[in-house]
Amino acid sequence: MSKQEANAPVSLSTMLGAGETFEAKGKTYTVKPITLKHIEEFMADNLSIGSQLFNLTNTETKVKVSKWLGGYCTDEKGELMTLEKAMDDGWDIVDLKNFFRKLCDLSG
Amino acid sequence: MAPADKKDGAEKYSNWEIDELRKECTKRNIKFIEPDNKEELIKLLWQNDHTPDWAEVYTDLLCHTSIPYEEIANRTIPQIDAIRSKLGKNIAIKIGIPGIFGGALDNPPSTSSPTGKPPKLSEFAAFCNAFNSIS
Repeated sequence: MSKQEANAPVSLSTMLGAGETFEAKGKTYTVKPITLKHIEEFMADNLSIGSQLFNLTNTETKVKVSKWLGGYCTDEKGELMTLEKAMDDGWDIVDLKNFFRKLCDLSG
Repeated sequence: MAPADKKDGAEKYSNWEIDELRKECTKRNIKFIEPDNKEELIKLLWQNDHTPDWAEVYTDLLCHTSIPYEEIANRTIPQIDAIRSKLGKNIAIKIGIPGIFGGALDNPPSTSSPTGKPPKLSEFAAFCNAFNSIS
């Protein structure tokens, strides 16, 4: 880390691990960064963070997608998301991609 | 994904011969499958260069903060990065704290006099007399 980066102010949200919001189909969702203890598991799941077609084409990866949604994404009421709930809310594969992108960006 | 030799820090390997790359991979215990190509070996070395040493990260946090070992796993990478980046502002990591684990005060003071000779009786008497005025 450069000296300039070290001196840059860090947001309270980062230090609290509060996450950031993103919008999908007119609703706001909160995504939290992955904790260290789950990083290895996330990498091992080998999910696509690009096209979500690959994640949704078989049952095994769908379960994994639902697991990460349930662990790190909440809806406006603060309730944990699931893949079924996301589908009920009208998410398309772009929304799912935005969730994974956000999750990766936030997690470092 | 950018080609391996265009990635940050990977260009230093671009002029290496394939034998040198193989040797470096072997030295670092990086497994590669024969037959290999230069691009692939550069990619492996680049990945190895960018693999964090988690022991170092944990040691920094354990030695310089009061975060318990188990709690570190509950933190996120940006949080750990932020804490580590500010450590130097408060604690001189490399110098250490005097008197604790290798600081300057841990070295026992020299017992010999500056001249290397034992004190004379007159010097010893002068030292004792210095306390007379206290009582």
